[in-house]
Amino acid sequence: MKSTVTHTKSSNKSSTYRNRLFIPVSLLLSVGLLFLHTSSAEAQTSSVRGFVTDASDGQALQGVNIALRDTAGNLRGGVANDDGFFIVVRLQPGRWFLRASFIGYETFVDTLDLGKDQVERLSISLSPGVELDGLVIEGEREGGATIAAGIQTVRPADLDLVPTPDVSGDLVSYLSAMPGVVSIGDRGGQVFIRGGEPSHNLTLLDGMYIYQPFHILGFYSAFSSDLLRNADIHAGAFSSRYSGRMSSVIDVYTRNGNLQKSRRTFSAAPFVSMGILEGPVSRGRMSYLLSGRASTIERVASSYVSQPVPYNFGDFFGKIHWIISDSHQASVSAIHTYDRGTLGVAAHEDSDEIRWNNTAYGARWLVAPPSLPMLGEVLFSVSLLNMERGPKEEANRSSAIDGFNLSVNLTNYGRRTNVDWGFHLRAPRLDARLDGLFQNLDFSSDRVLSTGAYFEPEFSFSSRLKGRAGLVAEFLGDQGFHFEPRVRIIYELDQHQFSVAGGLYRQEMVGLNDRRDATNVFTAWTGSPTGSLPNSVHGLLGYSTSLYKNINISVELFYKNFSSLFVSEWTAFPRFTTRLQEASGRALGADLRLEFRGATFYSFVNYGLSSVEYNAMQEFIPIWFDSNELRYRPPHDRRHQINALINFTWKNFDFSARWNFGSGLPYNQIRGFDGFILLDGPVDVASDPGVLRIIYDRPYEGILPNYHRLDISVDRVFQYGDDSFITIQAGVINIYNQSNLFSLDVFTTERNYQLPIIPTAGIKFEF
Amino acid sequence: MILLMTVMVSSCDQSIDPIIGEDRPFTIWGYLDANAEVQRIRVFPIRDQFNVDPSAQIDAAVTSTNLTTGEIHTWNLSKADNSIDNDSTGGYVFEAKFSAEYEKSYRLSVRRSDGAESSAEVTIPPSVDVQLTDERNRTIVPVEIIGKPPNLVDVFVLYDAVTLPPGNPWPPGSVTPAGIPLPVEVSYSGQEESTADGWIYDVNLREDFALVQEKFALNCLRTDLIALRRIYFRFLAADEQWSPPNDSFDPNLLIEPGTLSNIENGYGFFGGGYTVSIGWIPTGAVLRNIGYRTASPCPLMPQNTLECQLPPDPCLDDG
Repeated sequence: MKSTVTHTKSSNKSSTYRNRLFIPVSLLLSVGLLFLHTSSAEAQTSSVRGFVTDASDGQALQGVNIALRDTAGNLRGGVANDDGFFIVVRLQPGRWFLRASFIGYETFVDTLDLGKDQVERLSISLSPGVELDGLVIEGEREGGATIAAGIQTVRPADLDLVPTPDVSGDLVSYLSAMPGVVSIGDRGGQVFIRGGEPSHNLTLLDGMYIYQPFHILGFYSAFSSDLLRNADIHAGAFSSRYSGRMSSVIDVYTRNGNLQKSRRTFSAAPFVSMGILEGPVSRGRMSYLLSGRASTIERVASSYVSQPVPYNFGDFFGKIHWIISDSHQASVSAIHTYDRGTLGVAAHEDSDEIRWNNTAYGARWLVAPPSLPMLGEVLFSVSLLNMERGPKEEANRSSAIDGFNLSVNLTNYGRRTNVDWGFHLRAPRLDARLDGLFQNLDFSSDRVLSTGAYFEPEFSFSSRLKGRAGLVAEFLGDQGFHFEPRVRIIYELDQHQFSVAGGLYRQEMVGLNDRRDATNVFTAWTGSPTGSLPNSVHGLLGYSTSLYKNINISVELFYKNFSSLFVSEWTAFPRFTTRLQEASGRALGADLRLEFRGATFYSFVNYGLSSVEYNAMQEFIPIWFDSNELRYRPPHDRRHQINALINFTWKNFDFSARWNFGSGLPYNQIRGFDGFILLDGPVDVASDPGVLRIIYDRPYEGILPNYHRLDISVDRVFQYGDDSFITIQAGVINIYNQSNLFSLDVFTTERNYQLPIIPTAGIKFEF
Repeated sequence: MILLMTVMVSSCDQSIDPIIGEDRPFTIWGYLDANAEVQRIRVFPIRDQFNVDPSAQIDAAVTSTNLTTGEIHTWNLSKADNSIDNDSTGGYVFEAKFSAEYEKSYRLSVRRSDGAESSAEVTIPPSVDVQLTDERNRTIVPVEIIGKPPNLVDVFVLYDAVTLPPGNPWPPGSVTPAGIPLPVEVSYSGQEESTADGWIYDVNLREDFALVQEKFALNCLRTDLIALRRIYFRFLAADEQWSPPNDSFDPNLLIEPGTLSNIENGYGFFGGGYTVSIGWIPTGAVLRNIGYRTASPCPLMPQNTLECQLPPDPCLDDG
């Protein structure tokens, strides 16, 4: 298969926008252009832009280097973004030699004769094959394990490196191998990123809000590597494009279905089984992708796992992608996930069950106006979450979200200045039925309105220094107007990169969770209970460099200051309901990464040092603790975390091993148990037995044991026919059978351990 | 990786006991009542497990000493019919037959056989005299407390109210239902004013009537048929230590061990005091002026009017 190109030329004077379907967006973009003086200035000279795809399946190719050289030797260039889109602006009229190169693909070259104000549109398809060296113009993000100013881009190949009890990798397994990311164990579906709680994380899938993205078994999420195109993990100090959450962003995009031929993928393993169907609806123009995954752990793995595994989960995903023209692409996606299981100590028959399901539908329209140096993205989605907890027969607590999101993201490209801007409208309806869980709150169905806009120009001060300064302006209904400034600066000096980033973040929805029980996943979503919006200030400082050719090192220091958090009140009542109190907090730490990349060997070791501290503001604290404030380590404060991963290929076998160490998490120690009688008058203590009481030590002073585990896997791909493959995988989870504590019932001292040694095997067919 | 693993694994210890233990042996709740002939307290041995063993025996010897006279009383496990022992919360009721004397100090000791001891000292407050002034003819009744006990706890006015159903209800021949008593307590804690001899409270019968009506309405009782049988003003004259932080007996505050506690080497509270109660009946004119009924409605010939209708059944049974 050869690389191909489709040329289309247009000019500002002559271009006619004929498709009436796009008139509204054209108007929108025109308004944007009127708003931005820079755009008209950039249109004074010619530009080259288009999309780069893989010729074999039509998938967008990210990171392709586009180099243009004129007859005088002047060099200009760009890098294809995650959608494969590239643009090179402010080119003088004349002859230019274009070269598109990407490792593992044949290089594409072409000669362009550009007229004045000409917009040259190219659709480049690169054929897999020869690995070339050549001119490399590096984008801000490249590779799977590099980080710049808090952002790490993860590709499917990165996910497959981490051993899991499945043939395919999963985003959550990779997340848990990142420094600064704390999960409570191999079940529960909770991920804390650099001190932020799960409800502080924004998770998007093709622009759709996924409120509870991780499955109940900690190896799996709604994001399998078989579906992933890329995921941007913003651990903090994220850009103005994102709003509504105050800690981190997980922005996931799925790949498109195969545009050239129908493909089927089926896999089976003791924990999950999966099927994928994809292919062209209209060859080269429209594709579909359908996937379904269901857990088999209750039916298969439970027969040889030495502890109860009462978990049932799965997900279904569908996507239709349409290349409308060389300037427009659209996709429609839908996802449904479900989870059910029993957490906590000793999953008894009568234990409470937790259940949740996500459903989301979304449409994405990617538009590169023919005559403007601009890329626009329109996202509309509807997302629903239903979560229940209680007896299996009938849950007594429930929480639901039902809302839509409309986002418009635009980028105006200039030679030295790109401007990101856009706006959003969100209005999720929140509903909770809590059976008295949070006693001092009056819950009711509520719709939280958020509409706003952002503006974030990116400046290239020199070839080495780039900066972004952004501002988010939001109107939050009764909460009024809010402004959130953001900044991000990257300085590159040879192989050294320095980064600084920071900003103010706010969220209009609050996820309330009773963290006295670390295994409690149930989260009640509501507007701010007190009217004050949770917010945080982020700051980070990063440095990365390359040692020799294959070794990368990065260090990132981070700080987050949280305000208006809501935490459970401190109480000696041994009750399952609680009251909420306001708290502030801060997280600070350092992430260190060391990565080695070889031809057949890959390895990384990372270390996360973190300290999270909450400051509770309960009115009784000065009386109880003889101090005006109660500072404590919340139960997700993991001070030290190490992840080491080795991957190598030997005789066509692919070996992976991952070792994970986490220092112990804080918990409440107990001095003893007694009874309490309220002597508020002439109480007859003979007839009043009082209530049970817990005599706690000072809050969260105890430390649970360290956690560590080694997982290994080996797989081999067998090819049969031209493009059919069988992948056989085998592995062992927790190979040295470490008894890692998952939960501890401090009342009964009963404990529940994480998964013991588990051999796994799986097979995947692709044809 | 192997080196890291070796170092880390060797440092890991999965053994953990969340119960770190408590040196203090007992939690004590109760008070010496100067009005009572038998004193009672409830003692909780501090356990190292949450669940209560109903068959467990308490290892405790309880004594009290009159610090003025040196008289020692030995307390015994209660056998009283109304005492609830160790049924669910792990407490044991101890009692001793003696009367606590005003202004005398006592020391209570709860000792385990190994010598561990929890103890407390308390001084019974002085006696008080309560005076009412023209109480029958007033809607705002001054209640004067002569004498100054250190604390007044649980000060309230009890309205012994009752529904007054129609004497001859509609339809004719209906059986006149019995009146439904619904005592209503209105707190006056914290509303005292200091005087040279003690304190004074102004009991506002008219304002309180609104609260009485509210309580009747909550119980689905008609609020236009309320009669008042008697009014009581009550409080507990308490010792100096019986004073909670923030002047609030909020259980969410006091639940924390050590809060409002005078127990040495233990938890809980051991107080001293006595209950004072004084009652009166306002005149019919005052009652009618406030809004109470003094005569049954519809007394002669039943008519199909609201006053003669049978009252609805109460919806709540919290009277």
